[in-house]
Amino acid sequence: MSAALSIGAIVAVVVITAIIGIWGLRISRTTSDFFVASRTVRPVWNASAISGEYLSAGTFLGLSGLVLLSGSDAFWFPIGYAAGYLLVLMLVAAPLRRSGAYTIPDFIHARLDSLIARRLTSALVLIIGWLYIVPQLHGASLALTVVADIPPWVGATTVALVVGGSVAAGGMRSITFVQAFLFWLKFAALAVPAIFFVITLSGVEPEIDPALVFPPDLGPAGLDPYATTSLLIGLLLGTVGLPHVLVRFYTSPTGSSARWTTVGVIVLISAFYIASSTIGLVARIAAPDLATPGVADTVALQLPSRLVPGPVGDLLTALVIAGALAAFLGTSSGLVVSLSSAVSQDLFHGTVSSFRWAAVICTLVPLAVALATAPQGLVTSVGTVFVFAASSLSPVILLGIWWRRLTARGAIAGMIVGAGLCAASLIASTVIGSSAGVPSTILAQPGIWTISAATLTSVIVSLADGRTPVSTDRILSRLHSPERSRGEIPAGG
Amino acid sequence: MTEHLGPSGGERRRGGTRPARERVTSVDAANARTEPAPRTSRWAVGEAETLFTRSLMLAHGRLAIACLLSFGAALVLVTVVMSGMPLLDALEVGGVPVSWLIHAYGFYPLMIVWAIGYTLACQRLERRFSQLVEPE
Repeated sequence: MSAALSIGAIVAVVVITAIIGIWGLRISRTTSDFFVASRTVRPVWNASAISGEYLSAGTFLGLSGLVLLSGSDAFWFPIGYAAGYLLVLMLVAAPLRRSGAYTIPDFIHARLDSLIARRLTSALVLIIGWLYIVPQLHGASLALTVVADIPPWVGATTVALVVGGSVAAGGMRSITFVQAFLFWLKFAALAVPAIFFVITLSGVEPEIDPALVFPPDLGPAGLDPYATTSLLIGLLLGTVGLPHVLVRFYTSPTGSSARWTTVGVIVLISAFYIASSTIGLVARIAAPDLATPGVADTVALQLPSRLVPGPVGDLLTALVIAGALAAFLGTSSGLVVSLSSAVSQDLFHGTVSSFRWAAVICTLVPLAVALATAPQGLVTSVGTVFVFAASSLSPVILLGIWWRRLTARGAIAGMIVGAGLCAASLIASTVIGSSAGVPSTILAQPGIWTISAATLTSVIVSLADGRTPVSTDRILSRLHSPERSRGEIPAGG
Repeated sequence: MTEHLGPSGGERRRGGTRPARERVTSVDAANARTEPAPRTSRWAVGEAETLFTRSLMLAHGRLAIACLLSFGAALVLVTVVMSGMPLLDALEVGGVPVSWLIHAYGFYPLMIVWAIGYTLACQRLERRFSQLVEPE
C-alpha cells in the first residue's frame, strides 16, 4: 500500500512537472525567454523559484539525517545556507542584475575584458554545477530504494531524464514556473508531517531521557569555534559563487526588485529550514536506531510510518517522497539551466538549439558520476560544494563588483589558487581521515584559509599587474547606479 | 552636456509642419573639447557621473559592511549565549533543551529583520542619489 502510494506520488510529481514545463514551452519563444525568462519574473514568483531550486536533497533529507547523527552542529548548515542569501542581498543581487550579463562567465568577461578569465570561470562553473548535481542524484537513488525497493540506478536516471528533458524543452521561462511549484510542494512535504509529528509526540507521555536524546556535548555547548567559523564563512560566501543562484537575479526586472526577491527568498527558505530542523529534532526522539551513516539520511522518509501508523502515515510518506523528488528535480534543473547557459554561450553560439544540446550534456555527465560512485552524507556533500565555490569564484565576483583595481591576471590567479588549495585540502582530508586531530579539522573545513588565500592572491597580483581594464569605470557605474538614473528601460537589460 | 528631448533633434518634423522641440541645458562639452575623444560606448560615463557613482558605491559599501558587521555581532552574541549557558541545556520545552531550540530556530528571525532593514535603507539611499542626479 505504502509503496504503491509512494510510486503514485512520484509519477504525479513527474507528470505535473512535465505539464508545467510544456505549458512554459508554449510561452518560451525567444532566446531571452530561454536564458533569463525575458527578465520579467515578479519578486514573489522569482523568490519561490529561487527557493525551489536552492533547497536541495541536502537539506530536505540530509539535515534531519545529520542532526540524528551528529547533533546540533548540523543546524549550522541551514543557518549558513540562509545567511548566504543575506550576503547575496547586501553585496551581489542588485549589481549583478544591473550588469545585464546572462551568466557568471558573461559577467567576468564584461568586467575584466579577458577571454582566459571567462574560460576559467566557465570551467569552474561546470565543476561546481556537476559536483552539486551528483548528491541530488544520489539522494534520488536513496529515496526510491527506501520507499519502494527500486534499484538505485532507476532513481538517479529518472531524475536525470526529467531534468534534462524539461530544461531542454522549455529553458528558463518554463523552469521558473516549475521551480515555484516545486518549492511549495517541498515546503508542504516537510511542514505538514512536522505538524503531525509534533501533535503526535505532544499527546503521549514522554518516555525519553532528554540528557540521552539531546546530550550537551552534541548540543551547542560542544561547539568547535574554528570548525564552525570556517564552515559558516564557506557556506555564506559559497552561496555567492553558486552558478544557479546568480543566474536567477538576471530574471528580475530591476536591481531593486532583485533585492526584494532576495528578501522573499530569505523568508521562504527560513520557513523551510524551520520545518526541516523540526524533523531533525523529532528524529532524535523517535528514530535513534537509524543513527548510522548511510541510513540516517532516510529518516525523514521513515518517520511518518513510525509516528503515524495506518493510512494517514502512508499518505504522509507519499507526501514526503513527493517533496524529496521535488528537491532533487528543483536543484538539478536549476543547475542544468545555468550550466547549459554557460556551455552554450561559450562552446557554441548561445542559440536555443545549442542550449538544448548543452542541457543534455550537462545532465549526462553527473549522471555517469552518480552511477559510478556511492552516496556520502548528503548535507556534507552539498556543504563541500559550497566551500569550493566560496574558495574559487566568490572572491573574484565580490572583488569584481566592489574593487575597481581588480585585473584579469589577479582574478585568474585568485581562482586558480582558491580552487587548487580547496581541492587539495579536501582530497588530503579524505586520505588522512578524522584521526589526526587539529590538522584533520583544518583540512576538512578549509574555507577560512582557502578563501583568504584566493582573495589575497587576487589583490596582490592585481596591484602588481596594474592593468585595470579601460572599461572599469563604465562597468562599475552600470553595476551600482539605480536603473532610472542611467536612463535605462528596466526590463530591457 | 546636451539633452535631446526629441527623437533626433530638429531634423525630424512632427506632423510635417514644425521641427521637434530641442532643449539645450548646457554647453556641449564633447564638441568644445580640443583633445582626442576617449573611447566611448553604449555605457560611456561622464566625469560627474563617475564621481556620483563612486560616492553611491561607497555609500552602498558602507551600508552593506555596517549591516554585515552588526549581523555578525548578533550571530556571535546568540551563539555565545546558547553555547555558554549550561542553564539553557537544563531548561526544556516539550522535552527539548532550550539551547537546541535556539540553535534550530533562533537565527532565522534575525536574518529576516536584517534583510528587510538593509533593503529599506538601500532604497532610501538610491532615492536620494536619484534625486541628486535627476532633480525634478
